[in-house]
Amino acid sequence: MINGIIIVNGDAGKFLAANKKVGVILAKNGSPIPTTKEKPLSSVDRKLLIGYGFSPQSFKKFE
Amino acid sequence: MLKIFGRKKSKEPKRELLELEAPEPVDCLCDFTFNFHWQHNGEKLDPTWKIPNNDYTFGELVEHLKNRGDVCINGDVGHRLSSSMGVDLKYFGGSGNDIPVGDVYVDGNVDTRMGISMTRGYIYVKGIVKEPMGNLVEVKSDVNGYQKFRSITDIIHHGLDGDKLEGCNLIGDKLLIDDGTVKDTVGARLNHDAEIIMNGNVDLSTGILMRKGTVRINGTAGKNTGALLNGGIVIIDGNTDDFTL
Repeated sequence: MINGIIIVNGDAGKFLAANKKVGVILAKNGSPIPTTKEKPLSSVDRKLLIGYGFSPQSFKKFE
Repeated sequence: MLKIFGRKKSKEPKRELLELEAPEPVDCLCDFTFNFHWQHNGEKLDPTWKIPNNDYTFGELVEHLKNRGDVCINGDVGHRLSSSMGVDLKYFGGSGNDIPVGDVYVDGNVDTRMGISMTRGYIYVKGIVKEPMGNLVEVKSDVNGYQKFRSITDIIHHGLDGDKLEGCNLIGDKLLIDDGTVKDTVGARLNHDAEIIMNGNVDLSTGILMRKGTVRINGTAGKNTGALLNGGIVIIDGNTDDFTL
């Protein structure tokens, strides 16, 4: 992933974001590769998820 | 010899046809990447290699398609037919953009991963296409006895151009795919603010090399989801396999 957004309404599996440069992954679960870290959702992320019909509560942000 | 019964009259000049005998299935025919050449530096496949049981090389097939010629394969075909067909790959000194190409006809069966990351041209198949297939949907065929497939990305970038979709609908800039097939590389190289929605599970590399637009899969996705994604949004309404990028 060079840029962009990936939303996974479920488990995004192992080796998450192994080749990520910039961009965001929003998923309910996943095991990221360092240096990608789990971070809290921002209001923009929440709006984005709601906009696509997902409930943000159980989502995590990997950035 | 291919007989194109019932094909609509075209305004285009008659294309040159390259015919290939395939007594046994060969992988990577018409594969613009030559089995991902950058990963093996020609150890697994090189454009200069002769196709088994033929005088043609793998490279000659691709060059023929780039020159708007058609390729007809008499027999069954192996994996990864027409991979990245229609892409002028930077790795080989190209622009990185898509280019018009000829069409591929197969008068037998085709193994998995036909048309992965394909952006232009048509594939006509007389036999069975094994899934997962690539970035393709079926359109109404104009050649009797053959199914006709076109790149999803091509439809978004260039419109239907008279094609009638089978198992899909294009409404404005939204393509709804509900054809019951499993696909790889859905939305590959999409560079247009459009939406591709697919109902069902997909396999590898959804949204690979996308730069704009949205791909939504209402189902699960395989490995390498979002590989080399360079803009746009990939949404999987389900789980993904490892190496989501």
